[in-house]
Amino acid sequence: MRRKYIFSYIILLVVFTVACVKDDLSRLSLSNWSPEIAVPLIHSNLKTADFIKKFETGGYLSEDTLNNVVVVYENEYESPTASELFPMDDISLDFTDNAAAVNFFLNDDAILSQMLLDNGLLQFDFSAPVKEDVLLVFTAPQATLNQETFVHEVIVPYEGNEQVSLSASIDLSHLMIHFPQDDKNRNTFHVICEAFTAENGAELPHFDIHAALTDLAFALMTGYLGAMEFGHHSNTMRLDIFDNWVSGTVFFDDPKIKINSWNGFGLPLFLSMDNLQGTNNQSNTMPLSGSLTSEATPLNYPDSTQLGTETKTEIIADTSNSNIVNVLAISPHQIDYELSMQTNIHGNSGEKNFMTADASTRFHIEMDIPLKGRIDYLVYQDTFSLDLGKISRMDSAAFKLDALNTFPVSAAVQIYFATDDYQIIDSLLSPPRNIISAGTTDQSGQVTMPASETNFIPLGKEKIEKLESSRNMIFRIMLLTDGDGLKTVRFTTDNNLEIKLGAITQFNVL
Amino acid sequence: MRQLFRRKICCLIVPFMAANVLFAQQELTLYFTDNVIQAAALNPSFVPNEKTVVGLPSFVFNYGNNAFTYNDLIKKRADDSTYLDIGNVIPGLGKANIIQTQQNLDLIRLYYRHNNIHFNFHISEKFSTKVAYSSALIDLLWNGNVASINKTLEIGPAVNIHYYREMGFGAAFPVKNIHLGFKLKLLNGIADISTKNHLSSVYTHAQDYTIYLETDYHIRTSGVQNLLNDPLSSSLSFDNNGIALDLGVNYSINEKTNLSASIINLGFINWTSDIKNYKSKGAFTYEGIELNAYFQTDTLSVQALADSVKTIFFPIEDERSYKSNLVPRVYIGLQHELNETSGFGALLFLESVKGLQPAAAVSYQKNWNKRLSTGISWSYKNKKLNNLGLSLSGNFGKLQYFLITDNVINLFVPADAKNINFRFGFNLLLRS
Repeated sequence: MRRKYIFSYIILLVVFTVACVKDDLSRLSLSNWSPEIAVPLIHSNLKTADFIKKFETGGYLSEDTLNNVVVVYENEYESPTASELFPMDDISLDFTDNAAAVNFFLNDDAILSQMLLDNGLLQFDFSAPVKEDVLLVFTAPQATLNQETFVHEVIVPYEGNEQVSLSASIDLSHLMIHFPQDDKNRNTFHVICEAFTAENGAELPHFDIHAALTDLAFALMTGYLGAMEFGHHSNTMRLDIFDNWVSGTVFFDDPKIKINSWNGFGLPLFLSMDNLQGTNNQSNTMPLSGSLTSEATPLNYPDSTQLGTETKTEIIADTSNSNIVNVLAISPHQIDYELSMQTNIHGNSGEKNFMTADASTRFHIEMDIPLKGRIDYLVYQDTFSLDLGKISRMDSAAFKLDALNTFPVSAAVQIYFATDDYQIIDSLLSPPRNIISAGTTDQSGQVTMPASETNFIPLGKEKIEKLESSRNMIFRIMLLTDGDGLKTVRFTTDNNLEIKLGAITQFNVL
Repeated sequence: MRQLFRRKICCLIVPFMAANVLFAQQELTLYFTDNVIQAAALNPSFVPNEKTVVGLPSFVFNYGNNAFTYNDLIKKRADDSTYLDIGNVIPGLGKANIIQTQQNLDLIRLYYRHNNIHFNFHISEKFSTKVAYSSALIDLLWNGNVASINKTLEIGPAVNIHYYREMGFGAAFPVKNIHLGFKLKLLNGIADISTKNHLSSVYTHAQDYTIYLETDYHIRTSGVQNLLNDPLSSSLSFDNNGIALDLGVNYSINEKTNLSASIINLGFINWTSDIKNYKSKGAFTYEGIELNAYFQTDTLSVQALADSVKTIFFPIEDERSYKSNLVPRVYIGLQHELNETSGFGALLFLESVKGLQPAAAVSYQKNWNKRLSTGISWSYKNKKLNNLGLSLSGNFGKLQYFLITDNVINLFVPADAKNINFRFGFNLLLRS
C-alpha cells in the first residue's frame, strides 16, 4: 500500500520537475528578420510654380494672354529729388553802398527765371553810432512776397548805450525771386539795406550791417536748368531660375526687358543704360546690345501745365531691338546694369524747365521671360550632403517611378554618390536614361497628350554599400524639349508632372 | 563579469505572457472526481460525503495556445543561446490565433451539512488573460507587406485581461432522488483591460504601394492604474461589483447511475472605478511625401504627416463605466458505478465564446482504498482528441491532497504542448 502512496508522490514531483524548461533566455534574440517592405516614398503633383522656386530677389510668376507662364524679375530705383540735386547752402551778403548781390549757382549753363523759396531766413547784425531809435529797411527789388515787392522794415530801439544795435532775422518763406535775364546778372538778385532815424526819417550815412541768407530751401525753380548728369546707379538683377544650371542652352521666344519711368522733372531727361550684361554660373558674360544700351533714351516729362505731376515712359528691349535672346541663352543667373540720367543734352537754353523740390524720377525695371521656346540639353546640377546611416542592412531595393507628364520637356536623371571631397564613387543609373518623357506638343508648342512612363530602378547590395559610404549626392538632370530641342514649345499654367515613387526593399532589421 | 542568468523558465510561467477564452477553463476530468469537493465548482448540486469540509488554498492553472508551442517559437543554437524563430511559427498560424491563460486561486472553501442541506462558501481570486491575433499581423510584422500587396489585412489584436474576486454562497439539497444546488457569487472586479472593437486593417496598392490604414479600436480599462500604484489597497477595494449564479442538478436514475447537469457563471461585472477608455477610429492614406514644399523651401518636413496621423488615430479618452459578462458554461454528465470501487462517466461541455465551443470527455475512476483514488479521462477539447487526463487524490488522515489534469502528457512535455491545465490543492475532511 505504501508503494502506491510513493507512486503518487513521485508523480507529483516528476510533474513539477519536468515541467521546468531550462533555457538561457537572457540573450534571447530574433533571427533572420528580413521583412520585405513596399512603401510609397514620394507622391507629388508638381506645377510650373513648384519648379520655379525661391524668387528671393523679387521675382514672381505671371501669365500672358496665351496662358504661357511668364517669369518676371523686377528692380526698383528712384533718383535723387530736385532738392537733393540742388542743395542750397547759406549765402553771406556783402553789402556795398547799402546793396548786396546774391547769386545761386546750379551749373555752368543754368539760367534761372524764378525761384520760389519754401524756407529761408535773412539773418543780420546791425549797429550805428547814434543814440536814438533807428528804422532799418531791407528791400529786394527782384523779389516779391504776396505779389508785392519785398520790403521789410525793422525798428532798432535805442537802449542807452554808446550806439544803437540789433541782431535779428527775417522770414523769407514763400519769397518769389525773379532773376534778371541778362548775362551779367544771371541767377542773381539784390538786397538793399537802408537806415533812418526813427524820429525824423533822416538817413544814417554810417552804420554797420552783417547779414546772411540761411536755412534756404526752394519749392520751385524755373528757367533753363542746364545740362547735367545725375542718378548714377549700379544694380544686379538675380535670375534665380538659372541657379544650378551648368550647361546646355535655352532659347526663349519673346523675352523682354521693360523699363517704366515716372518722371517729375520738368525738363528734357534722358536715360542711359550702360554695361547691361548677363553672367552665368561659369562666369561667362553676354552684353545686351541694341538701342537701349547704345544711345540715351529720352524720357517723357511734364510741361508747365503739369507742375507737380509725373509723366510715364515705357522702354522695351526685346527681340526686335536687342540681342536679349542671346543674353538669356547663356542661362545667366544675374543681369548687371548701370543706369544714369542726363538733362538738356541738346543744350537748348531756350527751353523753359522747372523743378519742384520733391520732383524725382522713379524706375521699375522688369525682366519678362515668357516660358515659350526650346531647351537644348540644359543640365541642372545640385549637390546635397548625405548620411543614410546603416542602409547596408538592406539586402536589396527596387524603386518604381511612375510619371505622368504634361510638360513639353523630357528629363534624364542621374544621381552620383560621392565622397566627402566630391569624388564620385558610383551612380544610380547605368547608363543615365530618360525617366520622364516629354508631353507631345502641337504646332503651337502646346502639350496635347501627356507622356506616361514607368521606370524600375534596382539597387543591388554592392550599390547599397557604396551608397552607405557616400557623403554627398550629386543630382543631375538634363532637360530637352519636345522635338529634340528644335521645336518651340510653351509652358502653361496647366502643365503638371505627377510623380509617384515607391520602393520595395528587403532588409535585416537586427 | 559575464552575466548569464540561467533562468529556469517554468512552462507554467510562459503563459503569463499571454492572455483568455476560446480555450476556456475546461476542467473536464474534475467533473468526475466526486471525492474532491472542488468538483462542486462545476456543478453546485455535487455534495461531499463528509459533513464538514474545509478547502485549503488550491490553485488552478490553464494555458492554451492554438497556434504554436514553446519549442516551435524558441530555438537553440549550437552554443545554447536561444532565439525567437517566428518564421517557424507563421506557417502554423490560422486566421484567428489565441493565447490565453487562467490562474484561479481558491483561498478557502467551506462545506457544512445541516440535516440534508449542504451549505457552502468560497472565496477565489480569478485572473485571466487572452490575446487573439490574426496570422496577418504576425506575417506583416515578420515578412513585410510585399506578399500581401492588393490584399486587405486585418491586423487588430483583441485583448481581454480580467482580474476579479469571487465570493460564493450556496446550498445543495435533495428532493426525492434529485439533488438540486445553486450558488450565488458576489464578484469584485479588481482590474480589467478589454477591447470592445479591435478592427484595424492595412492595404497596400499594387500600382504605387500606397498604404491605406483604417482603425476602429475601443479599449476599455478599469483599475489598472490603481493596481499598479497600490496593489494591496486596490485588490481590497470593492468598487467594481458584479454578481453571478451557478445552478446544478444531479438526478439518480437508479442506484448506480446518475445524470447531472449544471450551468455556471451566469453573471456580469460593472466596472466603475479608475476607468480609462480609449477610442481610435479613422482612416489614413499614405501616398509618400509631397515634394511641392521641398521645391519651395529646400526642406522636407514630415511634421505635417505626423500631425495628420496623430489627429486621425490619436485615441479619444473617456471614463465611462462599462459592463462585462462572464462566459456561461454548461456541463451535462452521466456517471455509472461499476462496482463499489470503480465507475465510469461521460461529460458534454458547452461554452459560448464567439459561438458554441463544445468539449466532451469519458472517464474511468478507481478508488484503491480510502487513502488513494485515481482516474483517467480521454477528452475532446479545443478541437483536439489527444487529451489523456489524470486525477489523483489521497488522504493523510484528515488532510486530502489532489492533482487533476485534462492532459497529463503535456505536463511532462510542456515545451511541446499547446494546452496545459491542472488543479492541485488540499482539503481538510473534518467530520464524516
